Amino acid sequence: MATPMTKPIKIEFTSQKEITKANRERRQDVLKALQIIRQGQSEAAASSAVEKNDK
Amino acid sequence: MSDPDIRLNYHSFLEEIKNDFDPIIKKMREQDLNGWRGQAWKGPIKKLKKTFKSAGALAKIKWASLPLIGPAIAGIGGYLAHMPLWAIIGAAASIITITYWILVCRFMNEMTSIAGEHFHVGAFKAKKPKEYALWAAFRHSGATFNGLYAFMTPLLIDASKTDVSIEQILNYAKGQQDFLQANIDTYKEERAFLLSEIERNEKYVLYLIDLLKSINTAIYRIANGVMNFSELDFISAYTIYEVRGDKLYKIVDKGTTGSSPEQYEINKENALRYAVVDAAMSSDGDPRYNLSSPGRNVVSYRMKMFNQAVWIWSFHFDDGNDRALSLTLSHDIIDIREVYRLVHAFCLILQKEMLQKKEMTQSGDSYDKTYQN
Repeated sequence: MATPMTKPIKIEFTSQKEITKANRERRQDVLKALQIIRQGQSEAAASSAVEKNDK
Repeated sequence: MSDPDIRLNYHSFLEEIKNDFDPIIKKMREQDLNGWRGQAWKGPIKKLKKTFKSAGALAKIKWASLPLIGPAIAGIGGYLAHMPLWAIIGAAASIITITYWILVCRFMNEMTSIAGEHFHVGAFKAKKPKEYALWAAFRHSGATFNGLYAFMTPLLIDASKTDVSIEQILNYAKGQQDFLQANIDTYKEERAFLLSEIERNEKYVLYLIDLLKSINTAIYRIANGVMNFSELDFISAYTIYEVRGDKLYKIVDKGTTGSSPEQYEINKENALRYAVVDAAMSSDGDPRYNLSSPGRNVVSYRMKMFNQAVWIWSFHFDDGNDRALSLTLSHDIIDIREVYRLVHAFCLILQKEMLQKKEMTQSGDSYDKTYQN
């Protein structure tokens, strides 16, 4: 059987309200991820400062 | 002089002056600026006890037996014997008053002496205002030389410990700086992300407003009876096929390259290659998508029409057509099903009009021929 060149466009949301809600959640997730990265950077900086002091 | 010598000198200097100056400063801070005059007048009386003690020692001396004082006392006594009593009392009162006033003046003088036993800051301020101005700073501050000595000792004597403290402070400041810089960087990233979100949403608003304008124009044209199929290209070029039996027949082709066949066989083989056939065979109602050539998109949508007819609408657009991509394929910001419903609704209006015209003319010709471009 030949490889299909067509594909269905699956629309996962049932309404504009759901899309808006999903977008809000996505934005919150991105901001949360950035905060986690920032926290990691801060902790890394703090531990390197402690190591420096210990030396 | 070397640096350690200088440090030692300052340290010794502070050690010496702290015991001299701190009691004075303490007294200045504790004393009230008012009420010193009363103390000045009472002061000589308080000193009387000491005076009496001195007088007690003097009493043991036989004054009259002294060679010069004895005849002097006898002479003064003889002189006073010739004076009236009131004159003697008046003279004695005057002498006592003047003497006490002199004693008060002397006591006030002692009160203005900083290192004196009877020092009072009120008298000092009243009698020596310029000197007081120099000391006022000490009086109003809470600092002491003893405190300064304690503060400076580690700095002047224990220099190695001080260096460590400064290093710790610098490390702390560096850590804080790194922390704040990380915050700033993250806020910048957040800001950039949110700005991109705003721009993305603004872009969609522009697309929707543009679409709304086209719809408004189309509605006005319907109202004016001049709307036709060639004007439904407000999203992209398009084709419309009609299902008849096991074939698809092209009834409208607007703005495409014209390479779409006039008809397709509806079979599985074609359904794998062409979105339009795949959509015709689908039962779920979801649009179908394929690349007709590299970078050229076809999105097909099955529409149920009047009289049990089935039409397949296909959008044709390039990858670079962001507006068409956003309105037909990307469903992360707007509900694109409403776009499909929109073209469906317009197609129904036009089909209805066509059917009415067909009934009126009774021509029997299929409407596809009438509306093909």
